[in-house]
Amino acid sequence: MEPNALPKLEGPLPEKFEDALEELSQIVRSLESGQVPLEESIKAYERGMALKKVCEDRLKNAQMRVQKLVEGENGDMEATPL
Amino acid sequence: MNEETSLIPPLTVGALSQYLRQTLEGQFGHVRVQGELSGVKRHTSGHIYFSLRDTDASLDGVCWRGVAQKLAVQPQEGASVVATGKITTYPGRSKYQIMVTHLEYAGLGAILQQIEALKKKLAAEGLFDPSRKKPLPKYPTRIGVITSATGAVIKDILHRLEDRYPVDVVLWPVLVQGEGATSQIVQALEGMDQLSPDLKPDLVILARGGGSVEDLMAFNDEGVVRAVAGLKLPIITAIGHETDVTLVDFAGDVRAPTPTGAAEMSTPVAFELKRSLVEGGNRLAQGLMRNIKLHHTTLEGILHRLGQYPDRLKLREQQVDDLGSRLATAGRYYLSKVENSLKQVESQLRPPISIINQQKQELSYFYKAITLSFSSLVERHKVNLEGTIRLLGSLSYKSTLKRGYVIVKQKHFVTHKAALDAGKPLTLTFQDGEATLGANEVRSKSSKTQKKETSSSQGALF
Repeated sequence: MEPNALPKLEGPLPEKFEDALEELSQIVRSLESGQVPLEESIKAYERGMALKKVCEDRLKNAQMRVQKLVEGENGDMEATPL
Repeated sequence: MNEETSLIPPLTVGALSQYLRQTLEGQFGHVRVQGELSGVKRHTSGHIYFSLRDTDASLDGVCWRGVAQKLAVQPQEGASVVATGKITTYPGRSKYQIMVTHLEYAGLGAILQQIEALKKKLAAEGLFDPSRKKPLPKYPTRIGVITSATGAVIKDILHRLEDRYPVDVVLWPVLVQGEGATSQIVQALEGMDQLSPDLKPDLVILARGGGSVEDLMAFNDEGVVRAVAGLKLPIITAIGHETDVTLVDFAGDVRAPTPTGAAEMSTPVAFELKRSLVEGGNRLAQGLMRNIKLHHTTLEGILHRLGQYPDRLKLREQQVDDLGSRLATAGRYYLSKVENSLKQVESQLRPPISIINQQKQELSYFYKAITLSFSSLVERHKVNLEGTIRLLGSLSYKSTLKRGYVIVKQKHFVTHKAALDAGKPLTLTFQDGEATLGANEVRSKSSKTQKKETSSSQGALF
């Protein structure tokens, strides 16, 4: 992909924080390059804001959850709160 | 058979054995013995059996399960060790042996040598190659930690993670030293790769607090090092303090100086991320505005050029007008220029009479000049002459006469008494004229009276 190429602006938002952040920064870069058609740029903005919200929610809702693994009856490891 | 000896009541084998045991244990209840480990066997019961060897002696040894788990040094074939314990017997086999309570390597140098040898071997296999190192994920959502469930290490890691970035932590508790530590660590490492997706971490931290070289030996174990190198997940190793380097540190992807350091290396700082997200939002809005402005400018440019078309026609008209008027002006200018040149040529054409007149004029000018210079020359000579005359006058005898002197003449100047011709008249020249003295009055006398007379008569003359 070109450095300032616009990523696809449709489809479900990425699950992972890392992916959402990467897509967001791609959109910002391509918008800043000033080479996005008008209609596309509005779509890109909306998508970018949605991605930003994904990232923010991920950070806001993230809470440390600590688990300890113990061997279960069938030999598999099971998680229990520490 | 001797009768006396036969009178001694015989001991049972068991009693003798018991007696020997008491004697040995009493005599050798606490010994330290150095030797090379040989024939090391780990029984399923957890007990360890081995021999300690010298060049020409051998001592059987045993380490019970409870002790074996706590041993800092796990018995290894060929290792040179110092075993601490008591000598005891095994009555069933007519055997004596050492019951080990503590095992240590015979000298630190030996351990380090052993580690160094293993390091070379594994390095030669390419286990520590930089090309094998895996990059750490930037934003992990779950981190697997392999360490002791108790102790400061897990607390330090959790504490630092909480400060930086909220993330799920999965702890796989293991013994970090003593019997079973190496096998538990290997099991945990292999297990991490095989966890179900809802538990599988993005990266693994293998950690242990500081300790002596013996305490850290599990992390120099060949099996553990190989398991670290073979892990599919990225792994950060954090064993002991910054100065402690174990072989797993070479096999892992990243080495952290401390467990806290591992927590820092594994996660970004949430606060900074939030800030960069806010910045990202701003840039997004600015980018959009910039794009809209850009398109707007393009549109305006097109509209402007469209609106300019009628103006362009007028501009053309104006251009024609301008050229027309400039043409007229240029014609006039050309004509006047030709006229001027004509006048100039005309003025240069002169009749011959004017030339003669001019030459006449020049001639009279020269004449005047010459006359003038001549008369001034004459004047100058005149002035010179008068000067000379005046000079001459000042030098003549006449000025002497003015001062009271008189010229005496008798045909010639009389300048001496001897030249005086008595009987001839004297002519006396004064400044204002001549007087004559009669001949009879002229006498030449050398007497005083004559002189007096002369002077008095001279006085009478006046």
